[in-house]
Amino acid sequence: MKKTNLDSDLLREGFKSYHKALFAVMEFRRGAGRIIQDAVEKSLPELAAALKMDADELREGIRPYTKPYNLTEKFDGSSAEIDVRIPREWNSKWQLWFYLWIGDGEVPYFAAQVNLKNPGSAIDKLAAACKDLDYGETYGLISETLPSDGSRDLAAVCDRVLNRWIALWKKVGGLRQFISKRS
Amino acid sequence: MNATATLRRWAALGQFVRTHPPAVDWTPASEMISAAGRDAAASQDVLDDLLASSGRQWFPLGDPLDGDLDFGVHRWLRDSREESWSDWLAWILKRDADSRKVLKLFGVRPKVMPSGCCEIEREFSTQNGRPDLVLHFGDATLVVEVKTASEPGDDQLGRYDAWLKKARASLGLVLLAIDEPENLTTTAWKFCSWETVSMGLRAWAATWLRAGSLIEAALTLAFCGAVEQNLLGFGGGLNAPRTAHYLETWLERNTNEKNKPRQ
Repeated sequence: MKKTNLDSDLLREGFKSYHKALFAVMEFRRGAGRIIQDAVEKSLPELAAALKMDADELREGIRPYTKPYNLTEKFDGSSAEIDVRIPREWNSKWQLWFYLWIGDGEVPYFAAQVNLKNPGSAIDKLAAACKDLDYGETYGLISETLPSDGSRDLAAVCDRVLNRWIALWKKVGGLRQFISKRS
Repeated sequence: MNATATLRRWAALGQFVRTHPPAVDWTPASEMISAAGRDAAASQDVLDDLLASSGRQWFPLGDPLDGDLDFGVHRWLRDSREESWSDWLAWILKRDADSRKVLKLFGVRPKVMPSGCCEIEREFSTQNGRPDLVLHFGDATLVVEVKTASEPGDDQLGRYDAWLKKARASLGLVLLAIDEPENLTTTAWKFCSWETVSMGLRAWAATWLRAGSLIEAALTLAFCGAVEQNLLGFGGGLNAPRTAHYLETWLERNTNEKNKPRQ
């Protein structure tokens, strides 16, 4: 019976290329994260108005985030996200996510998402106002794909999704109504 | 250059980087992906041989990693459905509740090895919660907490440990998971990987097959296949090298066990 060859091509190539490949990944993460954050910051006044939230409060709450946070042995590489999230507090009743999702078998996409601990009628209202909304019990999102052939520019896609997101929240009357003290 | 000028200079450079991100050179990453592809192709040949050998030597029904059996499409066996995994594992353990075999499966080696059969309970209700599996070996008790997708918490393991300490004789708390958690502060548990359990259950299935217990063997092999595909990520493609390594290890281990002189 043949034996598995642990002295593999990957190990040999990795010895030569791993640090450069890792640098490319980190550089891509940094660059994409910057583009997303710039797009969110640029649209913040309009976004805050549409959500009926305080723009300064939103701006202070902007946090970059990536999944996986670190490249460790446990990361199976099946998917990764480069995100901007608002607000800073993890246990907030509401969270906004703006992220580039890349994974196996699916076309990468950029999405704008809301998560609500106690959604009440919020998700139903968003779904009624937007036929493209992808949603579950506690979240709703809109997205646009980014084919890996580079035919669409990330910054342009971010702007388009954010514009649709702002229009959607204007239509439903903002986020503030759904995060009252009661919820 | 004074401090203000230095700051201005850095601000200008920062602005440039923001608006003109350096192009990422993906060549080294592409070379690594190509190398992984070459390894996978070579390993697939090895894996095919190992699967054939496994079928020939141990499983005339076919190895659960062989062929087109895709457990990933079985909704019942998604990694997030932890109760399903616990239920099926408990059912298998009950088919052969031999104390020595069950303890060996989880890597538990007590000073005094209990004999006879053990009793297995699912979601046994205690004042400190409901452990997934509680195994009674006479007066001695072993708790197995089953994790597939969720992370164990210090609080949960601490509560089960506290309950075990009240038992007459505790065999400890086993955390059955894919990887050993790194961020727990409590040490009141022993880690057992799904890989270890799946390898052990393959041996159980082989024994059942030789004894003519085909249904037990088939259902246990199906469970192993689900663990190996859905939890451990084994299969073909880029996973072929690690899958071949796993299968090779199991075949060697089981052949050695079979050839070991009886004491």
